[in-house]
Amino acid sequence: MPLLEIRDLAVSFGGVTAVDGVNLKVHEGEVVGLIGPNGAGKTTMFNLLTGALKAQRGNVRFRGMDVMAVSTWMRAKLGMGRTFQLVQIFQGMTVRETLIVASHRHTRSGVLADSLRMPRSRLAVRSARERADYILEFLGLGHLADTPASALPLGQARMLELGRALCLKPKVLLLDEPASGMDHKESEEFVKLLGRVRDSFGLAILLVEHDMSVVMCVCDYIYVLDFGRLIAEGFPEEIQRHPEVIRAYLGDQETQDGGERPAGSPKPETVRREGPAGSGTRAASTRTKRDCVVASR
Amino acid sequence: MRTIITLICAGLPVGAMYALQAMGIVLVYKTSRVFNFAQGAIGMTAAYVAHELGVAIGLPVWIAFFLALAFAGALGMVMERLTIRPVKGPLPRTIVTLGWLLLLRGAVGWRFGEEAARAPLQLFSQTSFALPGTGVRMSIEQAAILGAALLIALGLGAYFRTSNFGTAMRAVADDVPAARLLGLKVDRINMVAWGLGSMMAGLAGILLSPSLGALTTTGLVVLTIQALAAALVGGLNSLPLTFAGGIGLGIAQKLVTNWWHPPGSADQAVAFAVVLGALLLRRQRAVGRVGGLLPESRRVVTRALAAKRSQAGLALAGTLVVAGLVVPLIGGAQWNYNLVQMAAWALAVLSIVILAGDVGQVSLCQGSFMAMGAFAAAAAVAVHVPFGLAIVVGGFGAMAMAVLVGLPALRLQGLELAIVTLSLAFMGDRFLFLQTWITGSGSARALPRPEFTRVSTHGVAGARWYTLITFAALLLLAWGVRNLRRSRTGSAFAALRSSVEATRAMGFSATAYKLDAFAVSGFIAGIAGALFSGLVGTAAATSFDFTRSISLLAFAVIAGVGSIPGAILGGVVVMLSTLGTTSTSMSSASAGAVTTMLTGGGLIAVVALSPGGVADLIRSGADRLLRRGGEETPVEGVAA
Repeated sequence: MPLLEIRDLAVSFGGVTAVDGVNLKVHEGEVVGLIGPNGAGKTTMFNLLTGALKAQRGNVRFRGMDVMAVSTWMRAKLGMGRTFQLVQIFQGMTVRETLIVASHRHTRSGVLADSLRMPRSRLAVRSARERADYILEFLGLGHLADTPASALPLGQARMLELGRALCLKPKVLLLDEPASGMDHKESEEFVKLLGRVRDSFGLAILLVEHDMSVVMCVCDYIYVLDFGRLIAEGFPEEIQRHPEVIRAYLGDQETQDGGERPAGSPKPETVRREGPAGSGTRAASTRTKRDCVVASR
Repeated sequence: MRTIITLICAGLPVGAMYALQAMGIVLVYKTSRVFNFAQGAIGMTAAYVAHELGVAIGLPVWIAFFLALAFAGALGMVMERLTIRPVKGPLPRTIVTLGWLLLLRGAVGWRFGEEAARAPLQLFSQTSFALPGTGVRMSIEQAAILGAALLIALGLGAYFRTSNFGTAMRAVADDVPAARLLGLKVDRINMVAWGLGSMMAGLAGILLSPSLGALTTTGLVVLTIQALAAALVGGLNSLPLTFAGGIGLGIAQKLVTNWWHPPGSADQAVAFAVVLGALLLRRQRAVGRVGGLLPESRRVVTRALAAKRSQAGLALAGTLVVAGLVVPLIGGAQWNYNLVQMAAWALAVLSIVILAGDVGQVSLCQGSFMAMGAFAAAAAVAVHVPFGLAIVVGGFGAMAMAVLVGLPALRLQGLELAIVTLSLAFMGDRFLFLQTWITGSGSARALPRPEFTRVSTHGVAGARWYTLITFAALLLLAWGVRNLRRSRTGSAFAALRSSVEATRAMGFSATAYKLDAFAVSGFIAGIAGALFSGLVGTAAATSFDFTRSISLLAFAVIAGVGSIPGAILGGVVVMLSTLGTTSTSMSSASAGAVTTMLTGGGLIAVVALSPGGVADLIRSGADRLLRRGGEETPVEGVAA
């Protein structure tokens, strides 16, 4: 059973269908990429997954249960950790305090216990702090623990968001363009970090990303969105050669000049490659691509 | 049928005046994104100026009228130039207008006497004539008001649409940076908008005052709620809809009051319902996100500094304990009275600290929560609940009300919440706290504090006990708030203050934690209200009117909205201000007006000059001292 399974998901705004019948699976321990040109519906997919947007059709199953009616914060509690495309750093908190907020997902204490400083409240704070410090060390941000989070440069702010999501001990990590705004060296390090994250925490990652070289390096399996529809899915090497993908990204001869797809031409058929059946076989454990290089931009 | 037409005819001119005020609010909001809460106060000031010139000095009526209008316009432009332009961010700017509300009300109260009624300037004759065909009578004044309002609304609309300056205003309303790039003088346009908006407030105030009977400093200010309602009906955007909203509200109020006679003013209840409904039904969040109440302090607190700070906090708590123990024992009845007052108001400010400082929710009705706490405690005492327990009942009563207020707040943020809570504070004064199911009967209810000794209640021994109890409550609740901040709940509060979306992504329910914050704040405010009422022996809504609610927020901001010591400082300031009252030769009414005026001025000055408040100033000074001994140099935060 996949960890996260999306069936026939669709939503439209006014006349524009932003996501149109998308099917997608993420198995445990997998790094899955979701790519596509600007306006393909990637972030909308994300908002549907996390519950920030309501879908008009289809459903999302997470850990075997239908989560369509589950609110955003409950989905987070169930094990969806996410980062934001535009970083949402908590103002006025230090790096450590930011991580502590997220670490409280696993502590229990209410307003009454907290205001009376009862043992359970102190225990909650202590264990959240331990978790935060552990993640700080893991990310190598220990020296920044007392820095105001809002003072971090964008690259480190994205790391902090990743750390914040990790503090939740998620089952699946949803990363919305985590490498955007990073320079070449930073994204190279980020790719390594993602590998470490997957190996150390044994979680699945769904990665929305613009930077093809990052996606090709880190993902076990890739879905390609264009105009809200899946146009391809497959292993990285297949996707790289896929004609539909190349056309979506580079445009083909007919459409390059006109800008838009000619009205007469048929909509691209979804090319469905059945991924190897069962779980695990898609995962990187069977293949080695640790030594790949992030292309310089 | 004839009654209905009569009622509509009576509602039309009143509604037209609401519309004028509301259009002024919309005009200012459209160009500068500031909600001018001082609109009613400007109208009130203009009406008093007109009275002074036309009635007291005896200038010809029309000259007095135009001079007063010019005064209102100039006032608006001065407000914009001196206090709005230097302040950044819609919410801090709106807080500045609250400062003006207090300042104007205080200044007028000082000059003319707080509640002393004055004769309004009478522009038109009140002789009535029959409307042809219906037999309904309307006064010349009513007809003139209606005509003037229509003329102004149409003229303004045409001006906005056709003149160069109107087009420029529309451009600024649309997109300030773009307007600037086009070479428009945005600042000047804003200033003119403020001037125009204030003139409309003044016009409404002057024309409306005769129909309200005698001039008072509250009557016209409370009308702000009607203007708010009409402006919200117009979506803070459309002038024609705003006009229709004002007229509609005026008529609706006349119709409702014809059949419904609750104690107090049903008008206020109707207006409040319109405000709440319009905000909740709004499709787009045009008022939307406006950022925090005040800019975040970017100073970094290292562990070493934090440890020293908490030592300083302990020292403060120690001082309080000593003050709470020693002063009552050696001091006389007056000292005890002052101390209890200080502690009660410190608690009230503390209730704002948790809501506005920690969670970033602006509440302008903490006074109403206090009143609710006081009445609940009084009701409990009336059924022979022991006094100490009754205080707690008061806390829970106010908590229930705060949660009710918090429910719509779940959908509202920033400015919207400020609008609703201020409307509630106005409505509380004139309607809610006159209902017998809350007050028992009338507007006050006895809340005698217990006699702890054989000495009479007002004797020193009884007073001493009361001081001890109040201080214990203050210390306990301040300790609780401090604990809360350092706990799991506090983490969620702080996250919520910054980003609702990210807080949800951390697995916290924004709904639950906002309601928690309202509940805690309401509880503290209720305790404060009950303790204060116990001190004076009566629970009365007049102790907790809208001026009090706004002043409380002002004290919180002046003292430093995020700070517990700041709350205590706020209590000290209130105590000192009443101390000033008793020690000078001023009458208590005019001393109250001066206090209100100074509070307003202080609020404006703090927001403009030191947004962190006085506590922040003290703290940065103290940090420098504390650091001097320390080995650690903190990393300075870089503005992102």
